[in-house]
Amino acid sequence: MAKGERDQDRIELLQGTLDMLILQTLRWGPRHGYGIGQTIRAGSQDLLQVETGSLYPALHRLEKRGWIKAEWGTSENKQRARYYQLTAAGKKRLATEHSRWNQMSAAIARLMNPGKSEGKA
Amino acid sequence: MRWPWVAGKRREQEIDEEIQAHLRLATQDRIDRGESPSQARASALRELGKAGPVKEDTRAVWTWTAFERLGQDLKYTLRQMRRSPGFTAVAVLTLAFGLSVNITIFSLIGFMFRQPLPVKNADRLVVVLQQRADREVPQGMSWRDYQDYRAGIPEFSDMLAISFRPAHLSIEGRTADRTWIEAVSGNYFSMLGISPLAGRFFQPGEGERQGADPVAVLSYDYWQSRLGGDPGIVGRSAAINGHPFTIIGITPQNFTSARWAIAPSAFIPAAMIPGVFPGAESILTTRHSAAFKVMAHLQPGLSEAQATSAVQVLARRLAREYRPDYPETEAFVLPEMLARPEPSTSRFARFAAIAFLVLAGLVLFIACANVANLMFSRAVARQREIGIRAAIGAPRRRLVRQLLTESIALAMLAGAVGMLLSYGTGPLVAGLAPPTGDVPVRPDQSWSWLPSLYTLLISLAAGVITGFVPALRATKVDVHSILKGAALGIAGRRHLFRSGLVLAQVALCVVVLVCGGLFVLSLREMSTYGLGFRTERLFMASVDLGLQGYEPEKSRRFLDELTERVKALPGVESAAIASSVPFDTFRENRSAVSADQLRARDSSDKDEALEAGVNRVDPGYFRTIGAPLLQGREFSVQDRDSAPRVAVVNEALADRLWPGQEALGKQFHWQSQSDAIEVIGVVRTGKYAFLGEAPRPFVYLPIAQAYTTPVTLHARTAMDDPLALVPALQSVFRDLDPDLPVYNVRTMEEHLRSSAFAFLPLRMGAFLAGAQGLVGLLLAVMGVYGVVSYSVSQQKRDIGIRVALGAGKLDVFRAVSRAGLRPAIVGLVLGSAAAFGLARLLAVLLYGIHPANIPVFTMVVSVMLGVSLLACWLPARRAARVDPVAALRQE
Repeated sequence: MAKGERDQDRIELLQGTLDMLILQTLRWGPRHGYGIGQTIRAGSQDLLQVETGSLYPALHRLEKRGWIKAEWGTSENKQRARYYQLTAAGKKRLATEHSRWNQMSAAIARLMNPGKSEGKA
Repeated sequence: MRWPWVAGKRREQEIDEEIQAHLRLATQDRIDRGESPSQARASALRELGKAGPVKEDTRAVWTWTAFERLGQDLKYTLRQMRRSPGFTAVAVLTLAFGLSVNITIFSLIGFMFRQPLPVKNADRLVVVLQQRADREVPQGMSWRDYQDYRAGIPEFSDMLAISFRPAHLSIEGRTADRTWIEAVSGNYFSMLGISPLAGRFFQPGEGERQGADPVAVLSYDYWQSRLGGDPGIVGRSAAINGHPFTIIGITPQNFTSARWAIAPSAFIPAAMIPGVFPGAESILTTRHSAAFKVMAHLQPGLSEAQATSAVQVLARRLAREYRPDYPETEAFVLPEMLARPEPSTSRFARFAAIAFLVLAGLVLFIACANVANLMFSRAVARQREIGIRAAIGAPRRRLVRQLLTESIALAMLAGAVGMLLSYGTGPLVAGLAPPTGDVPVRPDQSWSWLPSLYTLLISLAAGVITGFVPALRATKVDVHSILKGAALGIAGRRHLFRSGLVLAQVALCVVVLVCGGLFVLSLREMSTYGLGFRTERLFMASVDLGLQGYEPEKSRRFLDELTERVKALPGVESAAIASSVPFDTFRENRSAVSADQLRARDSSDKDEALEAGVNRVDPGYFRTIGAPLLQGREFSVQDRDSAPRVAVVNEALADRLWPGQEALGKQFHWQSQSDAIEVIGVVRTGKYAFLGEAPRPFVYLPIAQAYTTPVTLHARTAMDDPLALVPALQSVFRDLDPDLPVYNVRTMEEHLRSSAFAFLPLRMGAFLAGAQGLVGLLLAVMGVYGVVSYSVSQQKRDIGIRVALGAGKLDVFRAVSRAGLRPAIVGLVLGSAAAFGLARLLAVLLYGIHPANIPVFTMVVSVMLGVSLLACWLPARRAARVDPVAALRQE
């Protein structure tokens, strides 16, 4: 997620992916915004850095669609924070996104590595 | 309810807090990893970037949510509409029909009953009416009554009186116009708060003494149309019925009269009536005739009920004091807006208005039911789409809202189309408006926002009604079974809802059609029989010799000459003179109704006196009008003023005065006169004042023995268009008296069609009920068709199997049409019962037919049955052609 790449198509794609990643992160339980960002970063071994400017709009968008819900809580070191949590619709959504992602990445992989896929076939 | 902007404020604070929390967490994290607090905070801030845009972007997610959603729904709706233009067109047109009927009726009624007059304190303006025990309809009052009321009712801040009269008006020696003027109390203009366009109005004290102030105010319309808006007219002289007046002022353009839609040509003080109008010498002193319409301003804050009880007390006192001139009398006040178009008949007008609103509502309901039906079948067709949307997490609320948005958008579109339609049909309806003879009127068609608002509201209501039930039912889906592509979740098993709709449609349609049929039949019945005379090819024209200043002898000679010359015209079979025409609209001409008392001679018993209508006619009358005598002879030229008094009576009068006896040769007399009158002929009882009237005793007198003015020339012609007589007749009148205004030139059929007392109500009823009935029929057929088509599409597989097993076409037809025919037949039965009930209520408006008219009911029921069968047959035929293999493979 390099800076300056604010091309419209790019953002669309990234946005969808970010949504999926957030949903995926929340599968393990409620988390606050900072925590989600850190989890994605740690989980991708620092490859994916989620910018705050993308993270919070995405969280609120997901909340608005009813895929996640939020409530205020207290963190382990007694900080007040807004915790997000998956809803039933969010779980369904995640499943759909996940399978779509699988299909898409497989398709992209086939396209990007034609030799390999031919070899397999 | 949460308002978007309030919610937005709260949201903003929350986002702010959330970002602050983020900073604290990030800082703490860095401190935990060993950075110094200040360094940690600085890098956390850096990482956050500019907090402003973050907050803004996050906030933007929520901005205008409600509108955004609406926008999305609308966009989706438009896409749906474009995708199925056929459905959209049918739904929009169906609703547009139903809405247009309602808009038209509402505009008509709103225009008539809700538009205030352009006068001061129009909201407090009331009409004061007296209902005398011996009269059928309420009236105004006499001048003396008016003065007593004005002095004796503190509940009124002021009262005015109007006597509306035909007059011959000429300006500075020009040929007189026959027109109508208002003779008014001196406070008329000041009470109404009108200021003159030019000149002045009546001054205080002016018009108080009889005959003292010959001043006239001209109306704007007359001044414009007849005098070309001549600016120098004020101060010049005018003649009213040949008497000199001075023109003192012109009314402003927006004012016509204190009475709605009436547009008199001039205004004079009421105190001028006696010298100027023949036969009105005692109008200011008598209590006998109710010549004045009286209007008043209620004191602020008082109700009509309070004023009514006050006038009631006074009316009873006057009736006690002035018997026998004054029979038992009830008085009451009506708000001016509800007293339209004519105070004495306003009760009927309001009844009719409500009846038509209800009928129009029924039509709209039928239309809504139909579109609901269409929406429902489409919702079923879109089940998979709805299922998918439900599956991806759209809550049911959202789906219902989407479907409702669609139906409301449809209805709004239909409202716009309906408004256009009712604009288009406006002239058609205006053609039905009560005409006014030669009375000048100015329909004030100023624009009002009310019809538009009403359109918006009923369109919205129609949208919700049509969309709500289908939306609720369609979204009650079983997501899994739909996605699996299995049998459809709803309605496949039962279509109670749709069947119910079809049932209601058919039933309502039967009701409307039966009413329409009864009106039409009644109209035909009436014009064929029952009037007591023949209506066809009868030409009429009126003159008022009294207003022209003719003495009785001179007018007798004039009329004799006139009839002789008219009889000699080519194409004229016979001609006659009569003082009144049946069903005349204006009371002033209806001496036939306000008849003198008469009683059988040699009978001292007061109870035997009875009221009779009277018409003064010349010898050719019965032949001309086509009312053959049952007994005795017609009048002849020998029945002169000097000859013994004679009369022709109708059967109703003969039966009342001499029950079971021969009336011919009997004598009677008017209560006020001593001369006995001998009955020389009897005619069949006809209709005289109202179509719905009970048999009315009626007397015909020879006009030679009972001079009167004005009179109407009747000519029976051999021409299909009697009006072709006009040019020849004009030259006859020109020869006899070039200055005499001739008015109300019309045929009898025209007159009957347009008289509010004759066919007009029936005609309006027949037209409106007929139009509504046809729309209803169309809609009901579409409903039946929809149900059967749907049932065919649902049972394709069944049908396929049946055909495969060797079922014939008839079997298939029977199987699929059951879904449509069963509710249709139940609807027919229920509708007939309801129509019968309603027809009995309408019986007062019907003439000559029983409410349970077998032909009408049979016709309506068989037509409905026929079209229902047709509506079933079309889709059933398609079903019978089902290819069993294809049908089975589809699953």
